[in-house]
Amino acid sequence: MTTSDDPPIRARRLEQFRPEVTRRGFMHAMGASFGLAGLSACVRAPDKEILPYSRQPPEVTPGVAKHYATSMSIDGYATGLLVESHEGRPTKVEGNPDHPASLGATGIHEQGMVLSLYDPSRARAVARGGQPARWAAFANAHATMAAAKVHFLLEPTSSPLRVNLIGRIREAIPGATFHFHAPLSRNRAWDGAALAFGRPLDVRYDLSLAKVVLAVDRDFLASGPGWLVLARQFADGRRLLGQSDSMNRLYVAETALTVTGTAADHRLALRPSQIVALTALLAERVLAGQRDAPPELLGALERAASPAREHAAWAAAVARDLLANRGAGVVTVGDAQPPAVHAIVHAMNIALGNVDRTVRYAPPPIFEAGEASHDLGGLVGALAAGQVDYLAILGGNPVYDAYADQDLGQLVAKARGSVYLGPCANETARPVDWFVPEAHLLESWGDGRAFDGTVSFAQPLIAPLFGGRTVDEVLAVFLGQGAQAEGSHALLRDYWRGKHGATGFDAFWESTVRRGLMDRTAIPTLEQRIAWGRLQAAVEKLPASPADALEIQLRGDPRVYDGRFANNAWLLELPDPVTQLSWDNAALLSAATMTQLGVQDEDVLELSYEGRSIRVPVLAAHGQADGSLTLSLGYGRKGELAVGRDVGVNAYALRTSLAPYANGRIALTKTGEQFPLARAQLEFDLHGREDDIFFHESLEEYRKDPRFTAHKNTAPETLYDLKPGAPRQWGMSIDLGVCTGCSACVVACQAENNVPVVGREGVRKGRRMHWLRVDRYEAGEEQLFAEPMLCQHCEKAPCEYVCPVNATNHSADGLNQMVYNRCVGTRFCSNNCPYKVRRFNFFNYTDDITPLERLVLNPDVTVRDRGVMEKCSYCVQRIREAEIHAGVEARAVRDGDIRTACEQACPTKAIVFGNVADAGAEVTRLRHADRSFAVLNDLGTVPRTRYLARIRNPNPELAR
Amino acid sequence: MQPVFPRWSNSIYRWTIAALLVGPASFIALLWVLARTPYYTGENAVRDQPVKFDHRHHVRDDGIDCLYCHSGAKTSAYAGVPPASLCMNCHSQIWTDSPELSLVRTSFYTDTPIRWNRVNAVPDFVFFNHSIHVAKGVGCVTCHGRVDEMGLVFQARRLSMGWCLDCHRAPEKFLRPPDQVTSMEWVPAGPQIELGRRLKKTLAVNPSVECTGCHR
Repeated sequence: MTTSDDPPIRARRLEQFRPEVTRRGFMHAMGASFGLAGLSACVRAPDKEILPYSRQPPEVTPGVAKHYATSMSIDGYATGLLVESHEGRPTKVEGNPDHPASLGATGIHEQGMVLSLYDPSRARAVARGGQPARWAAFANAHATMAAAKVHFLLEPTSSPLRVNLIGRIREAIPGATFHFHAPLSRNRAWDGAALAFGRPLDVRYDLSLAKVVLAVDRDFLASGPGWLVLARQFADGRRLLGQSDSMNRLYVAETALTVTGTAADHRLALRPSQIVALTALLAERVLAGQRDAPPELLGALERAASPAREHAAWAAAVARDLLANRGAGVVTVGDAQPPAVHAIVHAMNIALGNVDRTVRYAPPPIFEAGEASHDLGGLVGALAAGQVDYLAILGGNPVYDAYADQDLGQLVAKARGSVYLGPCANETARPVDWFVPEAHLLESWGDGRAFDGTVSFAQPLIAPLFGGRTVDEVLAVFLGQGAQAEGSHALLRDYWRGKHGATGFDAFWESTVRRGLMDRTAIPTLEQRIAWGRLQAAVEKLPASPADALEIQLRGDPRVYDGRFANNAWLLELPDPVTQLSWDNAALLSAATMTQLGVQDEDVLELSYEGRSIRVPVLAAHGQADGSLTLSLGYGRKGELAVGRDVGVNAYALRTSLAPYANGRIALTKTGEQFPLARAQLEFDLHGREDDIFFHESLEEYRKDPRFTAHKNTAPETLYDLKPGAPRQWGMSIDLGVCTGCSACVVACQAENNVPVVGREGVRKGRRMHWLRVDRYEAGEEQLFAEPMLCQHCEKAPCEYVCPVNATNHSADGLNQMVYNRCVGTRFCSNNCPYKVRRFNFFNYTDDITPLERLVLNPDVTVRDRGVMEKCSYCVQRIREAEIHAGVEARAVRDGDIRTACEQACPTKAIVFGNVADAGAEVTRLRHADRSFAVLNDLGTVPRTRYLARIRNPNPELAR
Repeated sequence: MQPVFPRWSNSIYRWTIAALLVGPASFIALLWVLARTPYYTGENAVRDQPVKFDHRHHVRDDGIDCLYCHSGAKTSAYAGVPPASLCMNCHSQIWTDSPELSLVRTSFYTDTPIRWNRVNAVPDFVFFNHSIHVAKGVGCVTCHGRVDEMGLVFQARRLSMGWCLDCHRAPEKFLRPPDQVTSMEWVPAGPQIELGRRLKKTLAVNPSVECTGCHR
């Protein structure tokens, strides 16, 4: 933990520290600057050059962006993407609408991934013992390993090609052993399925049929395999278009508030140990009437449920609701829960008749899922015993993210030789002999399988910038081919030629690469029979109720995940979707627990366990279970990272193989120190202004009075002529009822619109540049609602009246335009904006970045300079491009032609953009829906962005 | 009593006050004028080129259509400068050993681009799109001048915002039938304004005069 007098961000240039200036010095400098500033207008624009292609690729037209299909795998589960390329330079990621795991949507990690391609920290050369080496030298040195005991450590994979290579290596090198490691592995889920059904299985949900969903410590609306699909299905189940529409109901039990928790109709904040008990309690109620369930099981459940007895009423109501919706419910549980809890949940779904309707079981697409190879313990044992001739760590960052008690960093040196294929000189690169730079996803050929097994292709958008290699290419080296080993393109093509056969292969290949996926390759679901006896034995072994000590929950971070995105400035600056904390991680505590401990926000606590300790600042978190402390993994990275080094605290230091997710035995001491946290939102209270800012109502009340927002959806009386000046009038509708606050829109907007990053100090000073932010508002004890806030494009915009140079004005088609080259930076507009969506460039944020980092900039959007105001433009570059495209084709702009970046990324389709003058447009329909309202309607700004009120669906039994 | 200052010192004050009033105004006026001079706009400025490419020969003598080389003008924001491979379509057959073309051959065979000097440029915050202008019947010659008469190409028009708006506010003064867009010598058969009004209607020409039409 670093303190405030040792600013931890390496990328100080982001924060633009400037020396202290005196008033006199300031006057000197500014007087001269103003005097000279005018003269710059007298200088001619510099002469420029044009460098055409020498041989233009046939598919490229300079100035016309192309999209290519690829797919991104996290922990082995692939999501289909379309990547925008400008003359061979990828700049923006979208979801692939044809892909079953994307449906056209993306999350923050997919959106942020393109920035990592241009990360200046990326390794640029093969190295041996820290000295630059050549790929050929590496390849030839590793071609003769047949007699050695080679251990390979990979990330979990579903890639058919990689599985094939693994099989071939096992034949070629009899002593080869493969291990798969992911810090946030799904081992517990697979073990749970093995417990219940005798084999590791993945659960596939169909939330479109679900009326009641119970999520136990499971953030299915923002993470996990296929979450984009689950979010879409969940949203479709509660997208109310009229009072007669039905709506699903979500119960959540969890420790720290998650995105899913904020979407819940009823949420129970529980300490980690109580979650197990609550599941047992629920199961006891649900299974009570089940004929197959042995009575001994019910007894065991009753015993395990005892610590959650205080929540018996809640559990009874939820169980009754689930039982009343047999076959139309889903119970789902998070990967952090012990296998027995997973097995209990399987039993509940069976007892509720949900299986084969909303819940199905299928073998995981992950290779050797649930087998011993997915446990790092095997490798640790072999290394400790000195039985490893050679260790090949291909991908991941295991030295950083393995369990602290396994001490992999020391053990790697015990191998007689080692190689690490990684993105940069990180923690794992340090103890190994050979280092090979890893190709970025957008530089790689490869394949993978989606959560449902659909084979997905990855194709490169650009040749490797720094000679990076893929995992498959390094594996091929070990097949004895040395430097003659094929590249990833040939490997993939040869493998699929072998699978498909030579006839018609070229057409098959072209179509698969073009679409990014292979039809009809989903893994079929299987019928399962539960083993009640095994379940009972497992429930009996569930730990007894723990002591009253503070329980510490370690979890994957919503932003940097397991640490792999910890050097991504977009994701670090993105405020946490729930706590709104930007840059660092913090120890999340409930207000009551903070009072009990006598600590306040930003106080630094020391947490120690088994001789390792970390110092971490405290942050009060809404909805946090009393008596629990939640800490995100993935921060506090070491190694040569330009941005992420020492940002936050490395919670892996407390994570051991026996207590990977929750631990009640961590000692906690106050240090008396403080650490300044960059909180993007300081006030969460609506102060009774629900009707002005965030309408919400229960379903029951909504049905009684569906037009309850009508008085906040009015145009003010005016003498002015409000007739539209153009046939197309742009507007937006945001459905707060289905917005989960996942923040994919924020990163998508940042990528599309060249929004700069300001750093921790910048965020603390309120200088964040996000054109679109997601506000969070408290409503009751357990609710924290999300409201995306962006320029409302007011028809009577307060900003426009006060601009002295007409730099912001209104277009005839209803856009509040921002003209950068007119702006002189008075900031009057920002002061007069009631929505606080205007952003000011205090510094030349983009000028300071390296030429490599500039490559990510969208060429269709102006890069703003210092002293200029900016804000959401409704992606005007997309509007004008679509208009031009339609004009060239001599047709009208159609509804759906223009999708803003936020709309396109949104997993739940909460954001809809379009022509509000077109009566048939989707956006018009939504703006005239009965839930529609304008934020701060009474100011008379007549916003073009309107919101649909959030409707909650509380269980009458629990609604107090 | 003898005055402290002589009488003529009054003039100093008068002239100073006049200079304070007129000086800043004329300085602003000077900048205003300067921004409109060809020196500043780059109008008529001829730029030397690495290859002595002569549009007079290729357009007039050979009758090559503008869009053969600048094909992006139909589909893209950029008209584009042709790749060396396009030059070699002909010059692999004719003038194969001309020393004037050695740079083109080098570019083609070594895959290195020719560094042309840019003649027509708008600032980075201006997003001009060729394709919509070509589709709506704005002739090449309207903005680029008689390129068929230029040895070395120069910037034929002012390319200032006011100049753009002259047409965006009254496109009928400049429109021509889309099939005559690349013609260098086309003149309207009747009065331009009548033809322009007709074309404006049939082609649905409705040029943007919004800031975001060009500044995004």
